[in-house]
Amino acid sequence: MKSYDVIVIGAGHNGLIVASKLAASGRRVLLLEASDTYGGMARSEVLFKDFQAPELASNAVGISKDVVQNLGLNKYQLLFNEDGLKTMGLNIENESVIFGSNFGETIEGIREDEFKRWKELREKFFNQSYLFQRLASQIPVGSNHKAFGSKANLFLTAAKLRLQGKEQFRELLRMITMCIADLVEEELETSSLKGLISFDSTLGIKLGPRSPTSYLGLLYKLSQMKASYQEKSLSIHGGVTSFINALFKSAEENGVDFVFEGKVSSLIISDSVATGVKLENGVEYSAKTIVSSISPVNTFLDLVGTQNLETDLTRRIRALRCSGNTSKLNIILEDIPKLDNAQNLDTNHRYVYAPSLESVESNFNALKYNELPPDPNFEMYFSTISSESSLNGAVMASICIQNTPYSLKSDWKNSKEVLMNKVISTIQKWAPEFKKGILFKSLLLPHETERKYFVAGGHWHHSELQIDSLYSLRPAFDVSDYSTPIDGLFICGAGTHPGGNLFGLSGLNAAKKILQESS
Amino acid sequence: MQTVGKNFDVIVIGSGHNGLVNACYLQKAGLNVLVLEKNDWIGGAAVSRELHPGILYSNCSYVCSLFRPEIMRDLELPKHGLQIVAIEGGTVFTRDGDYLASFRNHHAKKRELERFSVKDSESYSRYSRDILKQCRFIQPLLMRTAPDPTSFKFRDLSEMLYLLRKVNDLTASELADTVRFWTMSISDFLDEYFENDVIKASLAVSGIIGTALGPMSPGTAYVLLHHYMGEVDGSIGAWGYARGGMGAISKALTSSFKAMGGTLLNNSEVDKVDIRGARVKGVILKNGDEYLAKNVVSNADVKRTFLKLTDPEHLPPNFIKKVNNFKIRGSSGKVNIALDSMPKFSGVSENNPCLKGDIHFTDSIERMERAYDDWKMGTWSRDPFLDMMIPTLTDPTMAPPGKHFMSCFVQYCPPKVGGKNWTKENKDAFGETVIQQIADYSPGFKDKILHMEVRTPKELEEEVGLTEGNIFQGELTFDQLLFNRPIPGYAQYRSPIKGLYMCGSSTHPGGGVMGAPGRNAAVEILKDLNLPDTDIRDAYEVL
Repeated sequence: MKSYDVIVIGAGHNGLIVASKLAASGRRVLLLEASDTYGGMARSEVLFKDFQAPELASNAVGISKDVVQNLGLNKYQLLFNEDGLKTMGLNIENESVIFGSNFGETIEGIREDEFKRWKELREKFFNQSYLFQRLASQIPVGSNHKAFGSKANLFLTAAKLRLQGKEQFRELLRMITMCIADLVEEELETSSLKGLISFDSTLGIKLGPRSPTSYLGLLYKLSQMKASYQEKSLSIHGGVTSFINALFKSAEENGVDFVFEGKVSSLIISDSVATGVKLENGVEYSAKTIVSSISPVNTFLDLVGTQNLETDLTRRIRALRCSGNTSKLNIILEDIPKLDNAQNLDTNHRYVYAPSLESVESNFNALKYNELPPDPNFEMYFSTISSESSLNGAVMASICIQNTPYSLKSDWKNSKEVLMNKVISTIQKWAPEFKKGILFKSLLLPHETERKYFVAGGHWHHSELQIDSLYSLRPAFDVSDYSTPIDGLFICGAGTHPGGNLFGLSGLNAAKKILQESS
Repeated sequence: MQTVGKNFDVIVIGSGHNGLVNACYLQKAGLNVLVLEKNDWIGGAAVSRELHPGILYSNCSYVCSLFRPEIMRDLELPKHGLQIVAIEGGTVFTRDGDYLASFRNHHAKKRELERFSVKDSESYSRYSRDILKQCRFIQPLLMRTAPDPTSFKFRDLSEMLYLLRKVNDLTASELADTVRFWTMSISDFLDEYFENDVIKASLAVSGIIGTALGPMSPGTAYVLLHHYMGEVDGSIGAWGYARGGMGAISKALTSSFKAMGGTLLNNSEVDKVDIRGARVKGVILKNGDEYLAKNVVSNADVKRTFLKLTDPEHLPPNFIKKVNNFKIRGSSGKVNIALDSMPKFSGVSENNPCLKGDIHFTDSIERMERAYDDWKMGTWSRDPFLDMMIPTLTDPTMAPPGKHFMSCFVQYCPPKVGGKNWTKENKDAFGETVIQQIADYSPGFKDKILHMEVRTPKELEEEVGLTEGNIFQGELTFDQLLFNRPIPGYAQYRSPIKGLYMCGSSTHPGGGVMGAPGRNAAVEILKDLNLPDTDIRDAYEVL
């Protein structure tokens, strides 16, 4: 049996970060990956002919600055956007709004007094996002009572927020559990603007704009934005791949050993101590420290096994809400589509179809009952395909469709095409040539994501990012500080605090925790 | 305008249960208190009215549990005729002709649950234990003024310290459970215990009653707690009928108040609070009469108090904005029915105790949530959720032998239909929807109806004065609880105007026939007047 200091399970971004960081500290690290390449849900796939791109994570918002600096990723040529990304609300009936970069620093298409109110509201949003931003880089207060630093940090965070002013602190305490619908309706009138903000607050979360606590979704996103390179987000044209490649190179240079197509079937545990892993092909590796970057459900129920867990923890893990609710549609087009006013679509724009708050809410209604959204909301990016591919000059549209149920009441077989066509015909209304130019299209549903990427439920964040599953409650109180009741086993995936998108802080915090424990 | 009668120390606007509780405590402390009621009858939403000859209607609130026992004792309400009778059971009828009964006896209840799911029956003990833990945690908080977390005053800091100590009493994982419980949706919360849809639906009921939220909305687990934290005969979570209808509570309070020498006037609608130089002078009635007092307490909800009864010129604009932003959403209606004889329900014998409690016809969470979806679209639910009671099976004083009063609380019912005011046709159609649902489970029901009263949020607002007909005087979401209720910075029953106080359900700890807001407001008023509050007993420590 080959022996290492550390075994990391899963080569997604969090796995790569932990592996690279621990290898840099002089440990001998083995990274096991079930598929044939690194990157997890952000890995590149051959999509069409010889064209490769990430199938799932195509937009690179919110990559933590800490991660980039800590691992020195800048030397690996990360591709940044030159300008900020503007968001355009697709609105067929009314005038569209254009939402400036940095979450609406400027907005075109609304009245001046409305913009003034928006500016004040936006400032509140950003002030309050400080809370998460500060907590994100900390190891949560967990069942481990030695966590004095984390407790002190909680207190300091509260104190700092209080110092923003009495009125602001009161507003924070009032707003933090509210629904985004109430907040925007208190201040704004423009229907498409309200739709856009509702969409951004609820994308990827099983909440509608009228569900209490949906504002947290927005705060979470904004804090990620602030903790990342807000001005120059990573490019939508290859930015994600450049980030993943940089992580891989960093891990490689630090001396991490990789085994691909090495799906772990179980952990070797005796007397609540993890001593190694067993692969599906029978090979075993041993290590004192094992870090799992896969979802908590897969980690605890599949790899650890309920026989090694206390019932309370098993129950908590089983209760995790991890059914995905977003699907991904990739379309390859001959050429950049034109709008009905003959303008070209901009590859430096994000296009969002969420014409009103009611539209987002009614699609969420369908999700609650596992039905197809009647008029799906989505966001869309266009990127030009580079000269390395034979598709040179073609354009890829990456579309995230909100409120896609994991399991459908009727079955998915016939509905997949229906969902795809709904989205395409919405785009068609507004870019009449769109359909004609389609060379290739593919839709990845949550249950397909589950199978293809080995994520229970196919949830992008491994489990719901809601108020009852954040910070110390993510994924469950007993395992929220990245350590587990199994000695030597740690978790570091998106299912842990702070989780979410390509943030990467789950991996970095877990690495810190492991280094702390051993020192 | 003429000034009437002698000067009072305190005027209470509205004779709802909180107004009366507040008036009682202040009168008891030696102040001279006047209560003004706009209606002919006393009691706000806790009333019994003879709307059909011989039959008493609890036509607004219809059951009692939350009313604080400390208040009953302080004000000697049993001596003044108040008697609460515990409810025996309850039942949910299912679409397939079966029913799930519940009984007060834990073992009987578990046996009945077993019929639907053995696993759930086992989980039920764990569930009850966990809920009880949360009730014990919250009960002492009800009878305390919430601290202002932004303030550095001694009382706020020491109250914060009390809360922190209470929090510290919990183990870390209990605290984690509490946070989850306060923030989750009732649907997600029940999913962690139960698998059977009927069982989940029967338990989810308390999570939605009175709110403009569906069972899948986060925060509804707290609403469930709000309905569980009361007690009858010391049994936490139990509900009861007030003998003689809910008006018996108001009657006992009135009697207690008058025995202490208080003055109560009905048919006296207040038009404006008279304010001179940022200080209260008295109130002016609709008929032009003026009563003078240095302190005025409003039992009306926060919107009515500050947007209608107070001239905006006396209030800071920022405060008015916040009052406007306070969420009071009409989400429920009421259909009150006088019956010629006891209706028959298929499969259940007439003397089964499960019919003596709450009867529901909504057998899945999805049906509740869909009912809520209709409301979100601005219409009443096509398949509404009914919380139906026949108190006359328990209390013979409300109707002649054989005849019955039936109370149907209906959710969801919007304050406006599709953005327009309620019309008579709408109201009739709404009533018909409710009657039809009952008739689907009880053949021949329609023939037994002697008289029927349909109340939409519009009627509740016009008669009782509740904005949008919201029974809690404001949503029970976390942004409007504790130190946020009703408005951050004004959660201690005071207002920006000196001498003007609030004591309605808009204030902490919120709605239901609880009396705690009225009591807590009295404590604060006595504090301001430098009077001792020795007659107000503290919440007995449960922990």
